[in-house]
Amino acid sequence: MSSTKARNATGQQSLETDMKLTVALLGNPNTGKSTLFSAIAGIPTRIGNYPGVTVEEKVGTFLHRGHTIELIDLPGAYSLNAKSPDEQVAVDVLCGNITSVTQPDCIVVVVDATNLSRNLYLVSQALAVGRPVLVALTLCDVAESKGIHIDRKKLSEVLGCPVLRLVAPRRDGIDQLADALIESSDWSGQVVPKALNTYLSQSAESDRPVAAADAIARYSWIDDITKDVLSFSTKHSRSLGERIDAVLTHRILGTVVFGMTMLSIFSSIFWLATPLMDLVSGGVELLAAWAELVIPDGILQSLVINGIIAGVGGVVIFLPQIAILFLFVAVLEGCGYLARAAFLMDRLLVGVGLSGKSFIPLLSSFACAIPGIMAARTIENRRDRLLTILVAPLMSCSARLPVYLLLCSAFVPNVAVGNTWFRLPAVVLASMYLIGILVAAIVAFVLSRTIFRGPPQPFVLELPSWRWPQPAVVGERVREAAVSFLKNAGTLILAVSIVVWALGSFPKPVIQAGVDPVSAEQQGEALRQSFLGRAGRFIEPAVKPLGWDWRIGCAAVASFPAREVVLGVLGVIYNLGDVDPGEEEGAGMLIRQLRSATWDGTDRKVFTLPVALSIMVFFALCAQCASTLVIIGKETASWVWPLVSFTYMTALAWIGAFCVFQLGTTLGW
Amino acid sequence: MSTTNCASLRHLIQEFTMRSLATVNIGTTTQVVDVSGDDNTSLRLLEMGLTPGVEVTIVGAAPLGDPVELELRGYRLSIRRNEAARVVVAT
Repeated sequence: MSSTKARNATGQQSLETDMKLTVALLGNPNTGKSTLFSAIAGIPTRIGNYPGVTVEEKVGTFLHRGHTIELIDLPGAYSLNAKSPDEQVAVDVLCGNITSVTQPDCIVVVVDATNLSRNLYLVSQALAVGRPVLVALTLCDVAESKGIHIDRKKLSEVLGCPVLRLVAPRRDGIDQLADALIESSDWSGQVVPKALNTYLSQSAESDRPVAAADAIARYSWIDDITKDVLSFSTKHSRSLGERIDAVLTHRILGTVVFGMTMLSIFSSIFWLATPLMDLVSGGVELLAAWAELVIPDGILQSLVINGIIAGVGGVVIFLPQIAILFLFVAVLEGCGYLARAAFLMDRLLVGVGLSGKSFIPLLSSFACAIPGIMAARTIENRRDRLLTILVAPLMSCSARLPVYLLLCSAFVPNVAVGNTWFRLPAVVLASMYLIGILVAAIVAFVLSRTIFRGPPQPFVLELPSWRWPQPAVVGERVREAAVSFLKNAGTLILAVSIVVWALGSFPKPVIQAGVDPVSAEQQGEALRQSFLGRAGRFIEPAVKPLGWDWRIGCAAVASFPAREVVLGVLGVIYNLGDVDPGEEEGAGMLIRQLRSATWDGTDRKVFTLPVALSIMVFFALCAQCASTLVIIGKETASWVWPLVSFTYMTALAWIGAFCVFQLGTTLGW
Repeated sequence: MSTTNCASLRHLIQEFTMRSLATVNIGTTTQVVDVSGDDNTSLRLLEMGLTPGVEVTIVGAAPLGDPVELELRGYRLSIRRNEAARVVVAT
């Protein structure tokens, strides 16, 4: 323990004799550990990643009876015999192997009263660490309603440590827990119960592998305990939870409910988010208008409006989608449905080298890959998580939709397909989505057999009992996600936006006499002479096989910050000026302009059906989204993976666009 | 016979005469006899409570038959069929 000055809630400095206690909160997943953490320590004071891994560190501080207590919320673990990075971190923190984290003075093991038997496994291991252990029995109300009775006094005797009853959402038992923590500093140290030691020494003589014999020995001890300590009152008819489960995991009904749930989440992310997004975009426009008034015309004004506000504003607009998605994920996780969704989708995803837990991150990527990639945190298996993150951007996100819509309506003939009711533009639109899914499946399949080949990871997944999601925990998850997204927007994405603006604005062209500098033609000329424009000309040989002229190439390069920018850039570069393709007239004008565009110095039209298709396929598969790459970097704690993503996706996009264009031209579309 | 010979003979007999969780019908309640295999997967199954002697019920399966949902020690666990195949149960 360390001696330190501390301030209590009113800010007054307390006495010098205060001691700081470091407590580790250990427990299985789904035991209500996060709820308990919120109830005792409130909002975490430190959140981030443990050094060198993508495992979340969560620490909170609180005062109790003059003592400062630091509470470390360890990642959920089923065993201290670590098989995942999460469990390894838990072990490392308990043993004091992480230099930036104080070794805990005492351990609180959160035990789910509704399945005491399995939870005691972790307790049996925690007792061997050597620090005082406290068992916090949670979900006691749920257990009681199920007719489960636990003799706490007897349990405490057998374990050799205090066992406290908690109902965290109602704050029952929180104070007693805090009292017990302070008293724990007076204990000499934890002893492993004699009975457990006997079983463990006997296991050494078994012919099984050591770890297996150890596990079996522990459960033998646990079985002895539960015989004395656990009792059941008469079971009533199936509890509500069991009846819900019977429907939700039913082969047909379960799939139907699942389909409807996923559909409503998916639609909500689009429809619910729209009014909020309009609000944000309105705010951004106001900010731009204010900047235009306040800052005198010139480079600074252009930098602020076209670089900073446009770039960062264009990304911040996705904040409502992210918040809504994380709200749903947190609610589903809190009530227990997330595990069931993974259970239902697992077989399908295993076929392509992923697993059931990848489903929700991939589904959300159809709205925007950024929250989808962040949601991949729920996948503990490192390999599966990385693979999910790598293919998530292939799910056609909402930013691609305007590109598809415009090009489909402009260049795909509005005819019926064969004798059916389907119209060609709609079919092409749907195909773009399907191409993304198909390519993602192939990429995942190939990667999982080659670079990510490894021993099969167990899918062993607990299906937690149904419970009400805790508002505090849900709120916390949404807040965390929003804050981390905004932090990234404020830093790296800001930097990228400024760089792209600079490349598009310099060098300035020579203004011809008598020409209005802000005319559409002049803007087009300015863009063509800038570095971005020159880059477009430079890569022209590379995009010719795709059927593109250098202006389309330039637009594709300029859309690196965000895909939807491509339409705006096309507008500028074809001398339309600042057209908003989102508005009808704007779109109409852009379509007319594109239809009449010809190759430099000829009468040959640039935009034919094969060209339009090749542009769409390119955008379906490309990685022209700086924000996504930034988030991939953050979530994988490395710059390698964003680079890999960008490279492989651009390559696939080029190949796809090439094939479509060549095929289309050959077939005379 | 030495102990190692007894052990391998026992495993051999088990494989031929006993069923695994992958082959048991939905709705059956049975007892675990053993968990085969030495790797992390088998260890994880043991640590989650699928130890010799424990009572386990096959509650259901996903629409495509995989994974399966089990009930044991008062909670629900889902595992893939190839993982369930390692769990030998009583006939």
